[in-house]
Order: sequence, then structure tokens, then C-alpha cells
Amino acid sequence: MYFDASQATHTCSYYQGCDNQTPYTISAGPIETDDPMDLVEAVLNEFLHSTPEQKAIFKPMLEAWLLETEDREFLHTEEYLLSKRAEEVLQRVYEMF
Amino acid sequence: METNFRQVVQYHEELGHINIPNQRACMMYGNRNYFIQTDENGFRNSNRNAEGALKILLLGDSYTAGYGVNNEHRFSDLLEIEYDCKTINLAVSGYGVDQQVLAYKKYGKHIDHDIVIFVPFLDDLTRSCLKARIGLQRSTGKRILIPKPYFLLKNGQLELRNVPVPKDRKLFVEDPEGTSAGHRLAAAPRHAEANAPEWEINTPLIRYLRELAADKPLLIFPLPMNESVIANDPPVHIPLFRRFEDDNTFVYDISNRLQEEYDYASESVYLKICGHFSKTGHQLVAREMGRILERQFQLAKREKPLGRVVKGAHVLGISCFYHDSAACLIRDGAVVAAAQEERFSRIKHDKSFPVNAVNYCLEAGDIRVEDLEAVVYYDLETWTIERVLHNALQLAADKDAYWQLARKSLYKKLKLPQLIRNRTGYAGEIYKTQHHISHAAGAYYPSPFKEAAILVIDGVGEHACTTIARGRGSRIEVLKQQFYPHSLGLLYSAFTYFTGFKVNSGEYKLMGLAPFGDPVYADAIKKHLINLKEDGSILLNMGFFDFQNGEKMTGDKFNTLFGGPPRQPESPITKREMDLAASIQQVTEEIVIRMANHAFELTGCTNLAMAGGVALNCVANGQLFDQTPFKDFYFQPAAGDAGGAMGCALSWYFEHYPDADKQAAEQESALLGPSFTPQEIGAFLNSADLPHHRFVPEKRAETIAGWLYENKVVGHFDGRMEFGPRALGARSILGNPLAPEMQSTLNLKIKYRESFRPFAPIFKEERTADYFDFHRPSPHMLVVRQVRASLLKPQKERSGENLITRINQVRSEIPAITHVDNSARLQSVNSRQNRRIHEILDEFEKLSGKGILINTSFNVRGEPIVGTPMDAYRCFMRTEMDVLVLGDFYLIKNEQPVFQEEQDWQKQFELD
Repeated sequence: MYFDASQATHTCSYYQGCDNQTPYTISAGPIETDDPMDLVEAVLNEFLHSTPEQKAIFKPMLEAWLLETEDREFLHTEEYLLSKRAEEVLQRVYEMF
Repeated sequence: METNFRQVVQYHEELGHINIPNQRACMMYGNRNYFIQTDENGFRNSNRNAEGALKILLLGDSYTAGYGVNNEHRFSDLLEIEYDCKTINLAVSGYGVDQQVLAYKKYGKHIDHDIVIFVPFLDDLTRSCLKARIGLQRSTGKRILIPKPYFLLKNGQLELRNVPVPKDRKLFVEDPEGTSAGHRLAAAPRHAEANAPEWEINTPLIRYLRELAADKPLLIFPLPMNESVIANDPPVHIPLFRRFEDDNTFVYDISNRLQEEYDYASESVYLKICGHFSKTGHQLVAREMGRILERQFQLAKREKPLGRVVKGAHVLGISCFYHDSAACLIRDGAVVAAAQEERFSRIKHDKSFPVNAVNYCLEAGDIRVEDLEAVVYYDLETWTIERVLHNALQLAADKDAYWQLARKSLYKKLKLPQLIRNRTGYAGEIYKTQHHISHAAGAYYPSPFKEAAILVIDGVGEHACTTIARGRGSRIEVLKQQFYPHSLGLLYSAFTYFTGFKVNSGEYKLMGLAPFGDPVYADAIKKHLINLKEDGSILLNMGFFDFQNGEKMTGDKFNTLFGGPPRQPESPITKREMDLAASIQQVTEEIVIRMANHAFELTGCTNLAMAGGVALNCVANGQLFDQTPFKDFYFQPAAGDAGGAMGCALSWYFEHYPDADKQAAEQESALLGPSFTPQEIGAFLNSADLPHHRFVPEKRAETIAGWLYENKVVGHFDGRMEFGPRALGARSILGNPLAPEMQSTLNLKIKYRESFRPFAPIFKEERTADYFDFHRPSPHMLVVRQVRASLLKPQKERSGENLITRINQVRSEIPAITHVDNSARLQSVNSRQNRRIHEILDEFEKLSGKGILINTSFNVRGEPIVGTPMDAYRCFMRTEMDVLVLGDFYLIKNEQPVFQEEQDWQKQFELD
């Protein structure tokens, strides 16, 4: 889970321990599905930093995103996936997405 | 954009053109790759060492040469694999019947063979009527006429013309008849007919081939035009070839089989993109030929078909979609090859799918994609989605706008497996590794340590911004992490943005600017922007930053704190920017030192391995030697995201082979990219007809050192390309560091960049302590230290002087590499790491008394480092460089023809 900034004054360190989920390297198989509902489930299954309540909030956002037909048709094109200069992502912002 | 970075065809005095001999290359053709291998004469033969009862020599054009498919997928190779025979394929793309006959005369006649198979495509008959072929000029992409040999019929006798084939290549002028461009001998119809003018010259040519083949059987397999196959036209061309049949000459028609099997959608015969034979098309032809050879020449099938033997576990690592896309291939844990996509695509920090880098890695490993045991991506995209969703929730009202901004980019990452399969044809398992694990593995496994503390610091990878881990044997264990948004990398990038440089690429400029300023803002940074703990962990005060909104790095409060809005890119640099650079550099160093000390406390290890973008801050790295208890250090030379491609592959390998010896992965050199043979470089120079010289081998180093001592600027392109952002001598511009004016000369006349930028030295490893306050190797230019005090010169007071005045002060006996604070970014080299550079340093030391040179990356501002001889030549001609060294060759600037470009290159490359 993320560090709770409100606890900042009560701690001597902002590091967080790790549960050392291993193997660190996992199969991409579960997300290799063209069924948007399966994909939503696969994505949510891999969320390890969210509470069940947070996952419940994220699920409809993911469904809306991955079910949107027009978006999928556009984004699925290889031209889009391969584009060398993806102007959709602002160049001046750190590529955090 | 896919680029065939290798030139594969060269000028040939007698044949016009031929493939470059002894070459192995992975070529792009549309969206596919294919592999070619050539023999010592330049023909595509695989050197399979096959034995066989029958030796078959084949002549033809691109259909027989196998344009678009691997050597082993061509019908010639399939015959050799399946049948008890050896095949020698002398076909070359673009050859007319005339060139095929000449190739047989020059080469085939001298090769042991029993049968000649001649496979003329009908268009080859037309090519025999041409003086030149239309081709593309690699340097400009323009269509040009490439001269070829041709025959004329005089008094019934063939007369060879155009030999030696002229080298001059005229621009092609659109002209259906071809007469004004002068490349046609006669107008010719597209399809051959009985009275077509092609036969006037091709009839005696084929009879001449018959004569050359002497007593050997000649089997003719005419290939119809694709249009005839598609339209199911009757094989009207076959009777025209039957005229050549005799007791030892046979004509076979396979057009009906091609027609029967033809299906556009499945590419059963032809490749969609170009119409050459597909894999299945080659299989079909091989079956037909095999059947005939079985029947007529009693050719038997092999008991066991010959197969390719691939040894070792091959893993391909890929990093992309953030910045600095790259690919890396490992074999049994050892790094075989690694390269950044930008070097091929010529787009700096290219973040797109690294198709060219992947192809290069496969080529370097001499493997096909189906030989891979795993493909690994360096990031868990689902965790990044999770972080973005958390970020969106925090934004509340602006949640939707932020999500909209992020979703397309995220979708692309989610579809990466699909892209890998589409682009490479890979059908095996695809894996992914945590971003910081990729960095940690990239730092630890290649290091020489059996046990080490690992410190990863970057902007953000999924959730983590800092990771402390321990490596022990073949295992890595994460101990502590700091999560987004509390990131040292993002803090530094915020200042990069605020001082007018490009985030993700301008950080090193900020670091170079720091010595010009005073750290007057350091206290303000620590008081207002961060809360720093003793262990190096930090909490960012997000009220000052805007990157969580996705629009920009800093907010209004940041502007107020530092006296106004951000500096506009390319506007004058003021004292404020210099002081900001000095301040954030000082704070960064303090944080990195604390983090490293904490890593020591946690692990007790005396070795430290570092990666992540912040590990490229070589000033901070230099401090670690004095201010931490570690005894030894390893900084991954590709510490940024490119190195993640190496790390994820290594991480996968050691997780799946936990008993494997880590030593296999240890890596002294960062020279992991493509190299070019003397034959390839010679082919480039000869084909482009560029004035050049070849070094006398034993005088090479002495000659280069002589130029440098005369203050000439030398572009040095030699051996394998570097992996990572630093040029380490293989793709470097070299200069004399003893010349006081060399820094401004290089900045203004060669690099065309900001005059404050310092240059780094490359020096003999054994001389390190003679020039610097340092006693260790620094092979990857990732450590900044002070120039040795005994070499320094007295300085004037610096206050009140402007930036240029301060730069131009002579501060040491090696002024051009001594920065304003008397520091230098060190690269040591020994003869094991790069023998030829070490020899040049040796020779320079004989002349000057110092074994040290300026080493700056071979590029101009904003341009990726050059990757190929062509890139190097272009950069050489765009600048005021004096000499270009290309391996064993050199070019002198004032001997070169006028270099004209339609586009202003300075507009092509953006400033960082």
C-alpha cells in the first residue's frame, strides 16, 4: 500500500517493506485475451497494492475503458500500436503512464 | 519506421551488383523480418557443410535468391535439407538473364557441380534489355539508375558492354520508355511473346549458358509473371523455352501447380507485400523440383532431413513505451547483444516498440524467433494501471481528465504481447518483470560481485521510485522500497523542466550546468519541497508539484518559491538556472549518499550495484566513493530504461535457472551493439563512390594520434556500438584535450550545442591516478572526479564573470576536459576493453606526453549517436569535423564531394 502522508511526522523512514512476491517475473498470458471482461478480471487480479474496496471502485472504470468499442477499434490498429511518435502522450510530461 | 541498417548489396565491376560477402543480416521487409547469410563470393549460401550425391547449382533472380524469406526457407535449401544433394545458389535479386549467365561464367564454372538449374522469371528477359536498373539511393531515398553489364548482338555474336560497370549513378527521371534516362536498350513489352524483342538477345544468351554448362544437364524452370498465375493464364511462355530443349537441356512447367495452390489471403504461393515466393511457395517449388530430380536423376531423400542446430537457452528482453526502447538477447545467462531503438530509427529516446533492435539481437545471436525460450518485458503494466487509478482517485474532480490522458498510453502497454507476436511471429510464452527488478537485475548480474547491495533510483516504475535490494549468488531479494509520488528522480526532473530542459533527456545538462552556480536554493528545497530522513527516504510536498495532474512537472507554488515561471527552452541561461542546478545537484548527492549508506546498513555488503536513471548522475556517483563504506561499485552503463531490457531477461533466466552460475552474466564491456566488417564498410564507400583511404594496419593508431595532436577533430567509428547513453570510443568524436580552444571548437563547430557543456576524457586505465584524484577503473564514464591538483593552474576570482568567460579559462594542463569546478567525467580504457582505442592513446602519449583524449558522442545536438557507416558519414559532412575513421578506412573532409541535403538537419533534431 502507498505511504500515508499524514503519518509523515510520526515516522523515521518513508521506506516500506516488501512482501517479496516471487517469482518477480510472471507470465503475460492472463492479459492475452480479446474478451474485454476477461481482461478486466485479469488486470484486477494482478493489482496487489489495492484494497478490495479500491478494486470495487476501479472495476467500472476498467470496464468502461476496455469495453468502449470505438476506442478498442482505434487502439487495436497496428499503426497506432507501432506509432513512433505517440503524440497522445504529452512529450513534456515524464512518461509515467 | 523499420530500417535495414545493414547495406547488403555492393557494386560489382563485372556483374553490376552483388550481395556483400560473408554477411549475416536480419532484414525487414514490410512488417516481417527475414535472415540472410552470404558466402565468400556474396551469394546467399548457408555454409551448411552438407554432403550430397548430387551437386546442384542454381541460377535466377530474387525468386530463387529468396527475397523476403530466410535462407533455410528457400527451395534451394529445402532441396538440400530433404534430399541427398548439395545446392549452390548463385541467384541474386535484380539480375537479368544476362547477369545470371555472367555469374555462372565468373563463379559457377569454377564450383564443383553436376547439374545446373536455371530459374528465369519472365521479367528477367526484359532486364537483359536494360543498361541500368532503377534502385534507391540509401542516403537520400531517391530513385537512381544503377548501371549494369549488358550484351548487344553484333553480326550474330554476343558482345559484352558496360564492363567494367560504371559507378556513376544518375537520378532516375520518370519516363515510361526509358529512353531519355538512357537505361533501356529497346522498348519492351511486359510479357514475353514469341516475337517480343527480348528474345533477340535472350535466345543467344540462353544458348551461351548451354554452352558454358558444357556436358552438365541444364534444367530450365521458367517462372511466369504473378499476374498470369493469379489470372490462371495458360503457360504460353513454355513453348518459347522448349525451343532450347535437347538431349541434355530440359524445360519444366510449374505454372499450373502455382495456379492450383495460389491463395492471396493465406500467402500460399506469394508474399502479399511484394509478390515474391512465400515460405509455402518455396515449399511448393521444392516439392516439384524434388519430384523431377527423383524421377530423372534418381535423387534420393535423406534418411533424416538436415536441421538447424541451436544450442543454449535464449531469452529476449524488451523495454519500450516509456523512453529509450531497447532489446537485449542473452544465451545461457550471458549477454549476446543489446541495442537501443533510437540508434536505428534515428529518433532520440525513441520509446516505440524496438523492432529494429529486436531484429539486430536475433541477427547477433544467429537465431530465429522460434529459437527463443522466452520473451520478457521489463515492466508490469497492470501495476502501472493500478498506480494511475490510485493517482486518478486522489485528483477527485480532475479524475476523468487525468484518466483520459493516461488511458491510450496504458492500452498500448496492455497490448504489448499482441504486438510482439504480430511483429516477430513469436508464439512462445511472454513474461513480464517488475520495473525495478529489471533495473536491479541489470545492475547486479552483469557486475563482478558474488554478493552486493543493489540501489535502484529513478522517476517511477509501476509504484516504486527507489528500491534497495540484495544480490547473493543468482538470487535477488528486494528489501525496501519507496513508492510514488515520493521520487528523487521526479524531483530532479522537476528542476530539469523548470530550468528549460527536456524531461527524461535534459537531466545530464542540468548536472553539467551545476558547477556554474551556487547552491543558494538547497536549503529552500529541503525546507519546502521535501522531507528528508536520515536513511535517504524522502517525502515530496506535492503542493509544489504538478506531475500528478499529468500536465506539467511544477506548479505555481514552485514558481513563487524560485522567483518566477520556468525558463523557456533555448532562452538565455541566467544565474537563477545555474544556482537552481547547483542546488538540486547538492541535494541529490546528499540523498543518494544517505540511501547508499542505508543500503549498506541493511545488507552489510561491501559492494554496491546501481541502476535507474539517477545512477546516470555521475557527479553523485563520484561522491559515493568517499562518503559511503562500500569498497567497490558497479554502475550499469545503460542505467536508464534501456538497461531494463537486459535486466528483465537476466531476471527471468536466473529465476528459471536458479542453479546457473552468475558469472556467465558478468560483463566488462558495454560494446554490445552492431559492428560492421571491413567488407561492409568497403562496400558502403565503394558503392557511394566516396573518396577514402585504407590504413596501413600497423600505422593506424599512429596516424590517428598524429591528426589529433595537430588539433584535428576525428570522428571515430569502430567495432561494436555501445549500449547505453555514453559513447565509449566505438562511436566517438575524438579531440586533443591539451588544446585550450578545443572545448568551444567542438561545441560550436561540431556539436552545435550550448557552449557550457563540458567534454569528457578517455584515457589509459593505467594513467588514471596521473590525471585525476582517483585510483580505480571507470570504464563506462559514470563517475565524475577532480583533475589531479598538480595539473591545475591558478584561477582568477570567478565572481562577476559570465558563463563564456569562465568556460574559456584555462584551468589545467588538460583544459578541454576540465570543467569549471576542475572536475571531469572519467572514462578509463584498457587494451582488453578496446584495444584499438588504447593503441591510439598510446601513440598520442608518445607525441604529447599524455595518454588522454577528448571523447564525445558521435552525433550533433539532439541526434542519436550514429549507428551505421552511413550515419557517421552524414554527421561528418554536416559538421566541421576534419577526419572520419570507419574501422580500417579513413576519409578526409576536404577530399569529399559537396554534400547537399534537401532538409535542414538542424530542424530535424530537437534540442534536449
